[in-house]
Amino acid sequence: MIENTSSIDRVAGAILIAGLLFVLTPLAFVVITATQSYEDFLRNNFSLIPGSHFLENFREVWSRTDLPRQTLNSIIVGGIVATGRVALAVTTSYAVVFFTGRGRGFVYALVVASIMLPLELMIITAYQVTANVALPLNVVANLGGWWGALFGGPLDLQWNLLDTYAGISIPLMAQGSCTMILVQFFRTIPPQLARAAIVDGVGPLRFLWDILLPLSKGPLTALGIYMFISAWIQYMWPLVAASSPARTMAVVGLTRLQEDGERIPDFPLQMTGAILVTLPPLILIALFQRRIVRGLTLSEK
Amino acid sequence: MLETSSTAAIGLHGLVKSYGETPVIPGLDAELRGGEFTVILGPSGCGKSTLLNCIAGLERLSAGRITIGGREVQEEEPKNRRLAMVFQNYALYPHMTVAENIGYALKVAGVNKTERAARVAEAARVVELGDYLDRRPGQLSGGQRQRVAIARAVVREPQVLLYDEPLSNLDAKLRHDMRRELAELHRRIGATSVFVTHDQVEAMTLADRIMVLNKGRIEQFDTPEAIYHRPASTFVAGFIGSPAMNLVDVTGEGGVLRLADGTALAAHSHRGPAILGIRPELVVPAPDGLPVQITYREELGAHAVLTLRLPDGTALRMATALGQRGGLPTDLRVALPAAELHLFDPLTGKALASATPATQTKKAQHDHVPS
Repeated sequence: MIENTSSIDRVAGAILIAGLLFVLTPLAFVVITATQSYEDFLRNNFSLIPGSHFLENFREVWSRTDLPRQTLNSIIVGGIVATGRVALAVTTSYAVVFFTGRGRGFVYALVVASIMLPLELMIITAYQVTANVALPLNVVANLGGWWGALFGGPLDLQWNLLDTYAGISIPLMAQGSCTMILVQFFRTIPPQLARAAIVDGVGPLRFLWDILLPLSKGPLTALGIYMFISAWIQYMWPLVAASSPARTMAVVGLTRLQEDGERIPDFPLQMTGAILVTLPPLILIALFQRRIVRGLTLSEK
Repeated sequence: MLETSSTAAIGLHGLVKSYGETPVIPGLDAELRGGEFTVILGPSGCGKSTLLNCIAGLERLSAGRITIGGREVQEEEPKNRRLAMVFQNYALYPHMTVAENIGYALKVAGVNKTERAARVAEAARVVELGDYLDRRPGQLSGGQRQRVAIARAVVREPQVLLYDEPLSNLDAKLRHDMRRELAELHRRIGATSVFVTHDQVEAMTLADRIMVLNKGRIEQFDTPEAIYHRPASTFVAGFIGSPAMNLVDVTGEGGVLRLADGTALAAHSHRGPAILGIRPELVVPAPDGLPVQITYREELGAHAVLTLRLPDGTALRMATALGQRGGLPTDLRVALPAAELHLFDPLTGKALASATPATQTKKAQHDHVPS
């Protein structure tokens, strides 16, 4: 801007600093607490003076809890969910934007509507279906008892996916926000590109693979990372879907670090665990920061 | 290698294209001769791009047949029609290098690498692309991108080249250069070319024949010379030429065409109401002509365009002779030479056959009207 903006700059700076303090103070508190021993903590309660027990705490979290295993679980589930969501979004958006078919607007509306129906709302049904994937089939087959009449007994197939990676991940994949964002990006791609490809003799799959996907690399990476993180911080569904500590995800495992309720919780240990659980997404963001920002602006040249 | 001698005529037979209930092209017949450069010209929304897309196979016909080189193609995939297309916004693949862009169709068709490289180099040479084969489209200027788009089209050695307003994204000077190059390219490779534009200058300079479209119908399909000098309708007359042809309602009686208030405008044997058309550059000053008032003057350097007011208030455009400088007398009088008059039917807008002026008379014969 040409006008003198130093006063605006000062105010903006002050607001930024206030915001940073607001966000970082609790984090500082987490880090400081993680450096104290349980005994220190019992003696001094919460303190703002850093201790020197971080490595001991970390070693304890690493060797004596399920958290490392659960962090790996989170990485696996996050990876499956992110890949699944992005793959579904690519195929759906491709169909919605580049093909003229009957009912595609309706399908798109349904997908977008799914954003307003988070998994938490359907958690009981989702649990029932995950506990037995064949349940919907059973219900349909036994409607009015026709299966029983034909085969002498009700259909009762069983396929339990609870406590498996698939059982945790697949219900989390069904979410439309990814599709909505990708549809917006695909709409910025000139339709003549598709026409040129058709004249060049390119089929629909080859167009997707040779042209659309390479063009969408930036947005797809950004979306994938968002979706990984949004799966990472899921709590409710992983809590319900995974019962054994070996399959539980890290965020859920974190809350279980201290469950006996008898003694005063080992907050230093929990804070150390929190740091461990925060690290993988943090590293991911640090590595791909520029791609995320560029992907957000949805401009790919 | 790219010099294809096999030229294919394009036949359009009873072609209908409608979207839902609205017909964009209500039924069109035309024969585009092999090796000819046809320009489809019309205002936006006249169906010209739709027609091109139908020929390319990007749009399905609602009815009718299309033949290319005598072969019916309306049910064929675009890639089997032996044609290539150049798009308005170039439609280059941004993530591929220039060479990959040009060679992509060959790659898809399964042409081996060595032949592909040779043909890409040849196509790049034909469009005088220069040393840009390793760059990406984003690093090229508009004119260079256009060349890449054309190279991508000619590399497939098509029988038919389709252009969808390919020059409208370029600036004026570049457009002029590309126009010349396209004309030369057409002479070199000789493929039947169909060029869609709304720019009459492009149409006049490039075309062997111009198809003037209006609301999906052919108003006239003829050489640029005939389109300009013998417009078949008031639409063509008003669309071609800058400034546009004057169109004035007149009534003919007793060998004279008169305005509504009875002022005699020009000598002509036509009887009854008509629309009189005359090119602004053929309105000439004449000492014993109609007295007019100059209401507006546009100075264009080489000549000026005047808006005149006739005694009854009708506006008339007049272009002064090229190279003529200085003002015109304030008490200007003008004449409309009888040999340069066009007459159109006031109801249908079609040219009246009897009234076509002699085309050879380029210089106005000063047949003045008694006023």
